[in-house]
Amino acid sequence: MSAWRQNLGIVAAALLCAGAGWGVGQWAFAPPAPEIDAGTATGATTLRASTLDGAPRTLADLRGRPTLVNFWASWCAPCVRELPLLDEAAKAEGVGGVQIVAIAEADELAAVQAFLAARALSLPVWLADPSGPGSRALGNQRGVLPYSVLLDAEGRVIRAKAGEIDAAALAELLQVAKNAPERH
Amino acid sequence: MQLVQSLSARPALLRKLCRSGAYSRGMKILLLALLIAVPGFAAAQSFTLGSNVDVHTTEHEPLPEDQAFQLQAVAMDRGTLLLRWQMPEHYYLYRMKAEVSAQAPAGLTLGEAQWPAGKAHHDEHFGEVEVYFDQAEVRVPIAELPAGATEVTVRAKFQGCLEDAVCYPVMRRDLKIALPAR
Repeated sequence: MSAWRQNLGIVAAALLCAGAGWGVGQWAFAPPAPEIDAGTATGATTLRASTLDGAPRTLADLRGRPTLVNFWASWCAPCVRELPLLDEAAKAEGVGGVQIVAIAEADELAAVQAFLAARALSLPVWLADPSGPGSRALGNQRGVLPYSVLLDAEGRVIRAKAGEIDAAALAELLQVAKNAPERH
Repeated sequence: MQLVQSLSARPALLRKLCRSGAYSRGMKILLLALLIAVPGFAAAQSFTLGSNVDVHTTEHEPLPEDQAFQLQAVAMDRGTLLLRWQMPEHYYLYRMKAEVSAQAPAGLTLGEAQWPAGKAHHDEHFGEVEVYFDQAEVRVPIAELPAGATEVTVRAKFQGCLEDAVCYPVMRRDLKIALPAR
């Protein structure tokens, strides 16, 4: 076999290994669920919502503590699955920890109320103003649900995630919130 | 770089190096280094991205609506429309959340859409439902059509999810469909 053929073989092997390495890297280190660039999230304060009693709310109301905002809908199966997990975390965090707020969007007030009536959830639930940008104001470009956004104590997005959160991902998010440097 | 330029400019020297085996050995060492370095680099890059809060990972990002639920419509004849949704792997469409309605021209009415059999699916909210993976092809009869109409507009409303990940709110598409002359 000529030296050139040997070299060709080595090039092919190198490319194969590079591809395999890349694949392994992706598998081993990629986040378990979709991540969306939090850097694109702008106009966070334009989100408009209300409590289920009709009291207006904005993200400014959440400042002072790191917050996990979870956008969900009563018709959305992965959202419904993760809500109990978020509720448990909200209880565990208590008044001094990371606050967790569930904001229903693309949903009806009556449907949200009926959903909550059948479940014992204690975390605060808001309803996004259907005429506003909802979670798109926080970088949810696809408009998919669930969509979770981690805000620091000043209301800035430090992480955003489209897709269902499992216990491990939630624990990581809460840890990120606690480790977030204070910015002034 | 200077060595490469020097060799490129002197093909006779390059041929001599190849014959001597020095080039071949050098090439092998270079490629071996590449073999080790590239996968490591790839893994290191992933690790850096994975630990960065401002990461933008497109690998698992949900597709835009129009890519997740590709919808096309044609008229098979003046009495039948055909709508076809195509979904990539793991995306599915809810049968009971999909509907097609007449928009234009005035006087257009549609018959009952003929849906194919879907797949049984348990949904936390909707219960036992029928869904479509991969594709759903629906025939919609035209019940009444104003004489001389050359096209119709129908509105498709539908909803779907990416399995075990995200769901899409109700999507609405107005489809303008050219009709054959006869």
